[in-house]
Amino acid sequence: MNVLQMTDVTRIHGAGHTAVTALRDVTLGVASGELVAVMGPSGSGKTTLLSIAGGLDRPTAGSVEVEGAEISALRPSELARLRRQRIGYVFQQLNLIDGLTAAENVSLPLELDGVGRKQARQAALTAMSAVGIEELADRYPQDLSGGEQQRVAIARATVGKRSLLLADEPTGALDSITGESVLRLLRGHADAGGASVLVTHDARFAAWADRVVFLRDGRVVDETNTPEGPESLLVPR
Amino acid sequence: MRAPGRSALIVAMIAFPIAALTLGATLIRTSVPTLEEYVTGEMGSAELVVHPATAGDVDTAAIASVLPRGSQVVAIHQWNHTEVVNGSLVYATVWETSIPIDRPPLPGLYVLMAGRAPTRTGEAAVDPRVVDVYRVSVGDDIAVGGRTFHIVGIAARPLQMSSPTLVVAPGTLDRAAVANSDDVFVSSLLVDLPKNADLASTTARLAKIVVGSDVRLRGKDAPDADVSLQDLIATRDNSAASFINDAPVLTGVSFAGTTLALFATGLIAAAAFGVGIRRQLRMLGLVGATGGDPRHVRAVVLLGGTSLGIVGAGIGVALGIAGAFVATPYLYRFTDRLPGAVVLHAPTLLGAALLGVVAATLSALWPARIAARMSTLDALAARLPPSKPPGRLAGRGLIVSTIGAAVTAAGMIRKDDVLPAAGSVMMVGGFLVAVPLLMNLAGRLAARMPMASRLAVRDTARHGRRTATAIAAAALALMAPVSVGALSLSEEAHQAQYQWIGKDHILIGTTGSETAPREMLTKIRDALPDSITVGINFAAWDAGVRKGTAGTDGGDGGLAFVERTVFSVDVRGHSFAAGWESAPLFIGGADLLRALHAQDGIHALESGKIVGIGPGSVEAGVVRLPLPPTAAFSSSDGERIEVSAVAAGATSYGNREQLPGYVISKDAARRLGLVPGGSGPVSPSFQTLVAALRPLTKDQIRDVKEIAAAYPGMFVQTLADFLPQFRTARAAATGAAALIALGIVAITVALVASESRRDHAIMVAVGAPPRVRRRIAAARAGLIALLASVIAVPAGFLSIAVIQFSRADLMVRSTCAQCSTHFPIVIPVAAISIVLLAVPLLASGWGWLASRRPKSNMMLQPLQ
Repeated sequence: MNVLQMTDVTRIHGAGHTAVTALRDVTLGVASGELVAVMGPSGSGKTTLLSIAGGLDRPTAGSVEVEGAEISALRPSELARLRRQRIGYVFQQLNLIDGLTAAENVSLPLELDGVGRKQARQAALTAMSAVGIEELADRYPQDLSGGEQQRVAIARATVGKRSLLLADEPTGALDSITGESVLRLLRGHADAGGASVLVTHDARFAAWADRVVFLRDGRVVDETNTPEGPESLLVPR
Repeated sequence: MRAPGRSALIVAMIAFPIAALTLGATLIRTSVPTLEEYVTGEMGSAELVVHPATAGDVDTAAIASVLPRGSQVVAIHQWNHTEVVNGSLVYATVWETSIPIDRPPLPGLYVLMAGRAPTRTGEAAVDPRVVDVYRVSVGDDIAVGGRTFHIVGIAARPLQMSSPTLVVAPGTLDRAAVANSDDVFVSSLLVDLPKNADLASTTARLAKIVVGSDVRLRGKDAPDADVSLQDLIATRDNSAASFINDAPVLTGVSFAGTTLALFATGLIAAAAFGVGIRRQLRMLGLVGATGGDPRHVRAVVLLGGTSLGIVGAGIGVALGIAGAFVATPYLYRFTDRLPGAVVLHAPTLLGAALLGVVAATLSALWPARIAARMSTLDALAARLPPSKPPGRLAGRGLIVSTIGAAVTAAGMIRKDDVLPAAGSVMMVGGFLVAVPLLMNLAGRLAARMPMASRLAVRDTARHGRRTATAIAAAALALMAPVSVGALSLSEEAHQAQYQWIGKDHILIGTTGSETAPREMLTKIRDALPDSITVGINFAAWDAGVRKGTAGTDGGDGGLAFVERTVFSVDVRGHSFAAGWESAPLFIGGADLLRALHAQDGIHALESGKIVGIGPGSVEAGVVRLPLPPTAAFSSSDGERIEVSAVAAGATSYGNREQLPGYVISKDAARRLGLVPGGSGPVSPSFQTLVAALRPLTKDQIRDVKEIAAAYPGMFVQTLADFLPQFRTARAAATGAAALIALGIVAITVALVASESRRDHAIMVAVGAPPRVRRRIAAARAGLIALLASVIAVPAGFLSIAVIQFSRADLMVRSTCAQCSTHFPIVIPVAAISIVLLAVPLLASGWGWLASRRPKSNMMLQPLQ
């Protein structure tokens, strides 16, 4: 069973003359241990697809299942639980809370889930250690560089036992070296048995995926498996 | 207008104070008469008004004989009557005019509001207060003092609406038929002169036949004369000269109050504009990107403020005018005057509108400055300027606040008038400036708090400078209920020091000559077990006994009064000549002294001494009783007798004209030529004193009043009836202030919440369930309200403490020997509880309810 299964998903923004179809009958499945890259030009519906997969938005038509649960049938509180327990989301804008330290940002999903402060901090430190920023735990986001903030965001998305990791242009604001290291983290999550979806328009990063899905005007226009072996010369897989 | 909600909020914040100002200023202009209204209200359209000194001096025919041919004299008779109506003591006035009130010169002196003028004998027009008190309307019959009148209209004397008034048709007020007919007297004569009559010579002729030999006229015709007689005859110029136009002063006070309110409003509006700026970043960035310089950006924001100010001020003025039209018919209840048409004073209205526009523009000034300083690139990228930690100003605020506290304390110790006030201003002002520092400190202490509280505190601290403005505004608003509560409670406590009657006393009286029914007294005794009930008997000189003959027991020699020295030679450092106070003497026995809690004087009473109630009531063991100034009793008006006396009891009651202050036994009274009887020096008099011997409860007072209400003409009064009652006014003022404050807190919370949308969106995106999102919103709202409350409570209380201290200091320096110098400062527990507990709780509730799930695009790109 796929961790993420989107079937005939359509998303229309607005209504009447201003209606825009962002996704049209999109079907996509992501299995455990698989990293899928979604590519396409601006306005092709990549971010919309990811936000629907992550339960941030609801489809106009079609169904979305995460670990077998139809998310459009979930109540807001159940959907929230799904997001903080099963889905990790790396936002394009990072979306760190300025009022919380790096460790507090990472432990946020756990604390929201009722985990004790100390226990959540310990788990956060473990996740931060995995991305190499453990020493930045007590710094606030404004005191971190872009790359460091990105790692904090990834640590927050991977903390706990997440089966689905969604990343929206996680390397957009990063230099190539830092971008490679982020991709290696995503790849690592998939290799550890998680399902990952990466939205990017950089073929170099898409090459890290097991499969690449191409979107145009809200439709899946192509789908291909990437060849074995790393594309990166800097950080070989 | 891209954010209609925020714009509407700012417009409302400007509109409401301006509406209140417009309403207040218009009602002031409407209720304060113009010069012409004042003169007409005093004398209709007559040229002269004669106020006879006594009823016996009026000879209408003689007056008419010295007037030019064609003159008209209109006599106005007045009858004052006191009675109990629907359980309340009513002082009613009945006027009778010699011509109907709709005929010149009476229109204006009387204003017919509904129905018709009374023309046939027995008809009456009543004023709105009669309608309220007697619960009557046109077409009903009304009984006043045993006389029945048929109501044909509603009419009022515009300048005299303090008590219920009736005007009856000519010939209705038959003196012979009216109870207490001696009370019917001619209050004024209106003289309507023909055209071209010589006013000065007419006045001079009139002056020769009315009491007094001369008249002072103001203006160029005024001869040198005795000023004290000026009111006997008055021309329209005389009346006009006594007109005091207090409208400009009252309007000025309204403007000052509104400016203060707008200051608080402006703080919030500034915060609102600040939030608006952050949401208009891209638009402002475009202004810069397309060639605009900081001046243009500043102008865009400032003009936004001005345009919202124009809209808000316009709506405020319109609302105020509409409110004035609605409120004017009810204005007489508060002003004792019948207002005319609503007066729309253009300069005042323009001033109010201008104030609103200026306030809105000034509120936008600071956000405009920030916007102008922002780089175009940052604005286009919607990058918020980083939050700055509290600056030097906050630190200095803390220092100023500390110095202010020291200055206030020093001023109080040195009994200075200015220092405590200046110190308290420094303290509160400094504290408001130091708020960001306080919040920053709170943010540092938040690490160990639960997540919702931690985030709320950190977020509030992070936006310290911006939210401090809003908190300052909320604190200013929340000061009001605390101040109102403290002032009214303190004033009540101050007034309660003047012990008019005991807390356990009930005075039973009647407006007529009937005595309290035995059945009623029995019921009251049953309602108050262990109480003492005693009759109140004034001591009256008995002419027969005094002359050495058999007593008549009629007491027609007049009431007996006790004289005593009231001024010491030295009053608080001021030297005074001795003065005298006289108080009625009462005849009573041991029960009366027990009822007055002066049982330690029973032995002295029974041994024939006069017992003075309360410490200091007797000096040197004697009191002096001036003999009545009649030929039968004394050779001169100054003759006095001295009687041995003692002071007893712990309290001197202030109501010495109705509650016994000096008591003599019946036997001792008889020996002095005194008998029980005679009515008291003031009306209505009380007949029976009931002492419950323990403070009366509200329920007991209610029960006793209900018992008395069943007996026509009887009424009871307790201490509460003698003290000014602020409870209703306090509740209303505190409630209104609390509601306004809550409104401002709600607006503040909404503004701060809009600052936190980004964090909320992120929280939801990473899986915060609705209850956590709401909990954070509630914690943040509660925190802001709590911070404002913590500032407001001491600030509001302190301002009243300074006022009370100044009043006490003023009184210490005064020459009033009997006035209390103790101005207690009562902590308004209820108001403080509301501000410290209810307001934060309500704000939390509001935060909880107002929290909305962010849209998905907000979660993805929270900066948009």
